[in-house]
Amino acid sequence: MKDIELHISLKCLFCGEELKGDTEKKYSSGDMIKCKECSELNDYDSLKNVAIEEGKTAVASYAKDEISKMLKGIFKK
Amino acid sequence: MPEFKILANIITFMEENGVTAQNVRFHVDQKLADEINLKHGTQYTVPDLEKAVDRCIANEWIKHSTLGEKYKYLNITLKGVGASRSKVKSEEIKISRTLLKKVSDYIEDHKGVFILLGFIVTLITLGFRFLGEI
Repeated sequence: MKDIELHISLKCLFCGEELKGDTEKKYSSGDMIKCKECSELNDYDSLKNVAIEEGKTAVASYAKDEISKMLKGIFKK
Repeated sequence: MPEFKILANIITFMEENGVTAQNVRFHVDQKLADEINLKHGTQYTVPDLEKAVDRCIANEWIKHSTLGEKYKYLNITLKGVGASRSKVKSEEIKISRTLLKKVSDYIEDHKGVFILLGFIVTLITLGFRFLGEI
C-alpha cells in the first residue's frame, strides 16, 4: 500500500461552499469563519470535526479498495 | 427558523443525558412540537416541523438512521451539530456587540446602499457645479 496524501477543504456548514479566506491567517479553537457565499459564521472547531470525519471516511474507503485489490491479486495466483 | 430549534433541541438532549449524536434518534411528532413550543414560546405544528426537517435533510444536518417512515428514526449529523453550534455562537456574538461594532457591521452589510448614496451625492454635486457654470 502506497502512502497517500488527502486534501480536505473546509466547507461552509450552511451552504456547503468551500470556505475561502486569508491564507496567512491562522485560525484557532473558538474562532468563527465567515462564508463569503452565504455570509454565515462557521464555528472553527465544528468545521474541523466535520473535516476529520470526512478524512476518516476517505481513508477507510481507500484502505477498503486497496485490501480488496490485494485479496483479488492473492486469489488470482 | 424551526430548523435550528430542532437541532438545538437534540443537542440539549445529548448534553443533558451524556450521549453522542450517533446514539440519539428522534421522531417528528406532536411531542416534539410541544417540547419546542414550550421552550421557545412558538406555535409550530407537526407539518411545520416536517418541512423544517426536510430542509435539514437536504442540508445534511439530519439523516435517516433506518429505512422506513420519512419523519421517524432520525439522527443529527456532525454537520448538523456544527451548524447549530455555529448559529448559537454567532447569535451570542451579535448580542454582545458594542454600539460601534453594530454601526460598523451595519455599514458592512449595506455597503451597496452607501456606494449608491455616494454616487447620487456625487452626481448632484456635479449637477450643481455644471448648472452654476451655465
